[in-house]
Amino acid sequence: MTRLARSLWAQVLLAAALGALVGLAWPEGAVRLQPLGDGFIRLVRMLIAPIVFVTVVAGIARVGGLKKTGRVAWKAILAFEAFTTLALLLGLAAGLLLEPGAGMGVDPAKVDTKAIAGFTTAGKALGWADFLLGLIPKDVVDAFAKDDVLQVVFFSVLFGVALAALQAKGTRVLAFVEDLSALLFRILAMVMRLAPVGAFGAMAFSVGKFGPGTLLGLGKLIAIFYAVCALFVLVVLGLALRWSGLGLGRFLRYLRQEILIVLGTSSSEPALPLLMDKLAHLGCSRPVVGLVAPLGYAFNLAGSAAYLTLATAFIAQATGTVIGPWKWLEILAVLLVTSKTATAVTGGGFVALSATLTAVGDVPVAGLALLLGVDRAMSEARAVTNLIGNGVAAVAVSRWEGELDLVRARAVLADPAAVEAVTYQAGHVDPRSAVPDDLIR
Amino acid sequence: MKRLAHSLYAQVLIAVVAGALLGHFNPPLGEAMRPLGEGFIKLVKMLIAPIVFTTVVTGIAKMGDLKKVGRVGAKALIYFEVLTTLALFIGLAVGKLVEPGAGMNADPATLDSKVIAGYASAGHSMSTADFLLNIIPKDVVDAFARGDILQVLFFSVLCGVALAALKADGTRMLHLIDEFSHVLFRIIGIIMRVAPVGAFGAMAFTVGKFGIASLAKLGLLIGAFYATSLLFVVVVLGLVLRRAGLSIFKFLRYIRQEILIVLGTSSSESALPLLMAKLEKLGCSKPVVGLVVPMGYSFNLDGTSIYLTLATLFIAQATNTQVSFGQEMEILAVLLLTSKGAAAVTGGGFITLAATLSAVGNIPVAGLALLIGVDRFMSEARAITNLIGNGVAAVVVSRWEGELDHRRALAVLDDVDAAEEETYQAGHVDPDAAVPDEAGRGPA
Repeated sequence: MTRLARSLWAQVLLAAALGALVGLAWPEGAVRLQPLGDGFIRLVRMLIAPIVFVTVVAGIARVGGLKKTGRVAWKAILAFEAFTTLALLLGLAAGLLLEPGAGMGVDPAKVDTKAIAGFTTAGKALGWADFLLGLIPKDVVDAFAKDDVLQVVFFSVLFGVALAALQAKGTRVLAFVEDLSALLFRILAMVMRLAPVGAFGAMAFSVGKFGPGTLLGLGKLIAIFYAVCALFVLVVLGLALRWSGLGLGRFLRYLRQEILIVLGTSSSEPALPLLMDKLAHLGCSRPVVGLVAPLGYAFNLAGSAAYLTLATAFIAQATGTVIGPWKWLEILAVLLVTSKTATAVTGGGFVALSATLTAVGDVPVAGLALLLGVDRAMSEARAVTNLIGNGVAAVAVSRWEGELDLVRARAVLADPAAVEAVTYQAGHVDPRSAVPDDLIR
Repeated sequence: MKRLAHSLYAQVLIAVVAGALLGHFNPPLGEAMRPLGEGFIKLVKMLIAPIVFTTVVTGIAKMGDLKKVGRVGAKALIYFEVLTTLALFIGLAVGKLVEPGAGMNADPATLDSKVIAGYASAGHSMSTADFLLNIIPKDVVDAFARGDILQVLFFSVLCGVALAALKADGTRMLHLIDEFSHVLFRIIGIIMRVAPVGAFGAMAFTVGKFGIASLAKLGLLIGAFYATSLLFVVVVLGLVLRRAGLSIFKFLRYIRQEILIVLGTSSSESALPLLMAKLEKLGCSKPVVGLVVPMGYSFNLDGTSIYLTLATLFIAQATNTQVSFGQEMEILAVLLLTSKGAAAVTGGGFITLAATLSAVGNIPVAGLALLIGVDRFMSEARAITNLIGNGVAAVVVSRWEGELDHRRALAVLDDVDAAEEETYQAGHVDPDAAVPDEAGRGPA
């Protein structure tokens, strides 16, 4: 019993199960519990920009420098490309082989498209020049206020590199950033106690709103998607981890708390700060984690990528649209771009899908309406796959940099229970990051 | 003469009278004075968010005890809830007895509601869940950038509790925030030198724009509101303060300078930092003041509460809308929630009133147009009542916590002038507020 009281992941699991029950038994009331889930997500979101800032700055300033940062960024982008391309191919293969939409015979002209109007207008594809220009904040404070994580990463990298170049002159600023980091992670630890409440509310809402009935309707598609995600995690991510020298099973057990929070809230964002903390604790190098995890939330959405090809194939089959092999190559090329713009927010994958269908042209966008009801059910698997993919990417890039503390990582993975306790009790004050007092005053 | 030059309140009073005279005898020139008043309010407003942050964080972190924060916070909330409910009831009762709007026979269709469209949309009715969700900032920096006091307050409490939990690891950060707080209070001290200019401008504009005669039409409403506010302060707050062992009249004399600043600027926010300094000087405990007064600016708006029920009834009466007893209770319930967010939206009570009317439904929102002309004249009494209510709240909650230095309070109230000179000449660097360097935060 005391174990339950102390173990957050068990509480989250229990709360999510309870939420699902409430959603089944009393859908009308369960729908009204949505603010609990939203509130929890908001609580974590308000901390993301500052936490990304302190983690990136402290990481780069302490161990990095410009050269290293550039190298890590390149490696991260290569890893992201490899992961998402494999995921796209896997989703496409499953869609073509298993044909989840075959025989549905839907006439796109008769589908009510009103419900998807919001998504289709939001899904405008972004040009590369605009995207790159968008990385530069209009104003430093504005980037934080708007909660634009990519802009915050951009500025934080500049700040960290400059701080590293200042060496001794920057000691006081670095000490301040690390104090701030301790403070923010302590606030995060307080907020995380509410994770069960958030998971309960979000789960009750999802089940109550969309119900078991809608799930059965497109059961084949959902089952295939879950299988694809599982396959991706087991094979692709498992191999990447094996190459890094770690076992997938233990890694998943280590991240179970984050996975459950993501499952409960069906958004991968609330777990980002925790994930960064845990990866650093695992023995990944801090500058690598600081760069790879936030960037991965924008670019390394493996689950969303698999969903995009599978859903495109589904809509094409359901509406009886015939697509030749060359057209598929074109769709893949488009998806390589659009899959990067899918944000990690719930429903973000849906917007990206709309952008893809619009860009491709052949597959009727109206087919999206078919997926609206079940999108939420699939967004769980999407978000969890994205989360695990980001964790593995950070580990793999650390290993590639030769900065993965394998001995520590194995010890930590062998006894995750002890590690969880340590992380939250100390409010994450890493002894390695403490600045000796005499240097400061 | 030298005393006059030094005393801020005398300067403000003279400025208010001069402004009113100018507005009366040369209305166009008076209207042109508006930027002076607005500028002063802007000067103060820019500092509210950081001052709330530094005060609450250092207050909580120094208290160093989560349970205690919870208890003070809970006591303050109970007190706020009781007092504002009472204020809402009193406003409702006066509205029913005096019937200030009866016989106006204003047809909602003829009222030009275009003027108030901007207000009505800003105060779109909020559900309880939305209200609570909106207390959580979208992003920490965003809360400060938009100056959303409720959000800043929320984050400050989290920060303070986290810093307290960090113990020695948070000492350096706490020092920094504390130093920052002193800089901010010093800036306030500098800004207060121009308070008379602001009061003069605001007064000249009001009288110049609306004219002294313009008051006559809605005189009864204003009169009723002022009388009710006065009654509330003297009777309700007086009794409450008596229970804490102090006299309301002496207390009013003690904070007269803040009252006059509010009178000149008709925004209770301008006096917030000064009021906090004075309450600490009176012998209230610093953590309690740091928590209760900023919290009170969102949750304890006694004057606004009186105004809201009175104005709602006024509009109903003026537009000949029948309001049943059940509907009155509904208005009260809605107001209990909406009146809490009043300070969170710029423009205060008027926006809340719009939100309330649209939430209740059967009283025409267009009726707000009747009040635009006189809202300005009542906002002063509203702000002053809010100010006094918050001061009393801090004293009472301190007393309730057993942390009111009663002897000191009596002594300070009996010799106000000496206390005042001391506070402002020192630019408010409270020796008690400084953290002893070697101890950090006392017993960790």
